[in-house]
Amino acid sequence: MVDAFLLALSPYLLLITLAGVCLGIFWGAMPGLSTTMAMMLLIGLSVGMKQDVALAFMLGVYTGSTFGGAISAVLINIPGTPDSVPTMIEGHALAQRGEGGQALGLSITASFLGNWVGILLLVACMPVILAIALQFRSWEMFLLAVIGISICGSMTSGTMPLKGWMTGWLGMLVAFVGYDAIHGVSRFTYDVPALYDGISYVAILIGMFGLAEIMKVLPQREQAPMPENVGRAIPSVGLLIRNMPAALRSGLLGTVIGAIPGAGANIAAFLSYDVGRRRAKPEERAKWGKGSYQGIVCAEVANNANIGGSMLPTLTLGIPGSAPAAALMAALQLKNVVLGPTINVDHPGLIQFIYALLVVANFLMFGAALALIKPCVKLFSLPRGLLMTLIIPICIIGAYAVRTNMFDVWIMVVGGFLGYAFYMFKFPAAPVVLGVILAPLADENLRRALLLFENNGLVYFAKQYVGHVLVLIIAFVFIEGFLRGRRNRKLAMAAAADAA
Amino acid sequence: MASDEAADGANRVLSEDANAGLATPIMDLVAAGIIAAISIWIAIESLRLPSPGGVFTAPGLLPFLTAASLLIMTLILGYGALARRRAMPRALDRFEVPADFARSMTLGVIVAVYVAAMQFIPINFGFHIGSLHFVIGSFETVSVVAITGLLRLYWRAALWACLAVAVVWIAFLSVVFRMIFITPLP
Repeated sequence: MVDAFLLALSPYLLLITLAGVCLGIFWGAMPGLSTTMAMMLLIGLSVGMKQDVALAFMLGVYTGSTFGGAISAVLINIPGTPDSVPTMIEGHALAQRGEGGQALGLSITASFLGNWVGILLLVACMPVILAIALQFRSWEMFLLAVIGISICGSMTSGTMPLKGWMTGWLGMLVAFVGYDAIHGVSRFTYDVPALYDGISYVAILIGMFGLAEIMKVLPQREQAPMPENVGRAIPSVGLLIRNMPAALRSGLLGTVIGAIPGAGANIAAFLSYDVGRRRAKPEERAKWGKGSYQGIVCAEVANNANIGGSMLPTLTLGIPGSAPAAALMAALQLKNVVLGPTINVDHPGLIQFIYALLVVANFLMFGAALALIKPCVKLFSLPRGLLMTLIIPICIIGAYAVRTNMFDVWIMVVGGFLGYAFYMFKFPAAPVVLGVILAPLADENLRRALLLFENNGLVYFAKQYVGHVLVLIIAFVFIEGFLRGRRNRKLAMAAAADAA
Repeated sequence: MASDEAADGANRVLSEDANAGLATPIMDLVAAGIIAAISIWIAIESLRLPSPGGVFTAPGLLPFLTAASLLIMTLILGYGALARRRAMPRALDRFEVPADFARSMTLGVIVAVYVAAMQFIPINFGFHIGSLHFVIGSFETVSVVAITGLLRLYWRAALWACLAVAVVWIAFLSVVFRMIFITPLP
């Protein structure tokens, strides 16, 4: 652990992490630029970096960007990232009363604490989850992949889980193109040489989360309003201590939600905000929606604790806890680092290095956030037409750099149109990420497991107790999702009948 | 008003993607139709794949299962959309496109033309400044033209300003990726 910290604190990596944190804060603060988009673009761009540099930069961006959304939420009433909507509701009301600096200071302190809760729970839970994960064999790994994709589908498409599952399944179909890993049979390639190695998931993800986002946001004509007078941002330790029970509860909630595949910072922030409102004392509850400091604490602690939580399944099971964590996993795969139960054996010291980077990035985020608020305010006055246009060449470089192939750039363009179509038809895009990343794992392990069952008979299958529990979880996810979807469809029909 | 916002925020708890959910019935029907066609195609192609080691290790096994279950999901989506369509006045069941749809599609087409130009216009020359070797390829030249045009279209600044920003930005990206990260560019 000491070695990991010494490496993370080496001047070069410290500088890289700081650069990542600063870029992340700017990125998150800009309305329309999400954490997921930043991380997806970085997969391709990390190709030219060494593994430790890529990790330091990406974790820096992840940490900085998750906080950055709060700046525009408080100052211009536009959430920089979707998870900062609760902060916007409370923080902007405070800014209008001239308490913007205090609200931002509290956001910074709450984010710092949230990161700590996430990191500590990650460190505490990692050995337990790894010990359990080591017992998993082919059948269990296949079921885990299916659980990851189906839970992600459920979580990303709240009123209609079916649509989330469908996009997850479509992502799997994309990943099947190319040579299969067991027999070397080419699947769905139609003698097109560029398809023999499969469709680059990096290009698809950059298209769906980068180009599609640009296609949505760049043509919009309205410009963000000028910020409220912020004053000085004061880190509000006293306010945070007064709201400590809410902060700890939100940290725990954010970490647990982060560990659920597909449930990211958005759900963490909203759920924690809602729970906080229900549990607040009557005099405090009266302030919610009109400028409550406790509301900011709940949202900011939860969405930052989510980072540590999302790392838990990503590192131990190879199942990404959120879309940005999936991007980190994909970037590591390009460096031949396969995350999963044997990570400690295959890559000794990597987990400790990630812990160290998360801690370092958190400290840097605290300092950089205080220093960068004023420059961020200047950045808001830059036109969207300028900023979003300049991201287009980054999308192209990201898609091209992985395999130095123009075909992948075309895949990115197709991914952009596909992402826009998903948006138009109200399908969530995040399950595609889990689908394309987990399909090879599911494919190989299902076939290995079936071969084992064929050779060992039904009695052997009946003894797969962990597998049976996982099958029950899958059944629960689907039944709950179907019931939720049916209920919402009936509500929509009733509303339509009323309209008639 | 503010309390309404707070309550609205709380109601969005269960969805990570606020946009995802029910579309109008006609749009869900179209989506179900397109995805059903894809899943039938993949299912048939999966069955046509060779299976050297028997059914249980067949390369087409999981693609077939995925496509078949996707087909079932499209049927459920389509059935639900039809039920909603019957309960809804026809005037409300519209094919809704986002407000800036035409501008978004135009942007997508411009990016496609930009990529095509990069692929089919071969440019590659280098020069030295001191001991440093600089390369100017298709990426640099086509990008400067394309980004200048896009900036003029969406940023609406003076042409010289758009050109200056494009040149500085592309030169920065080129130096960072070609010389620092040693990443080849188109």
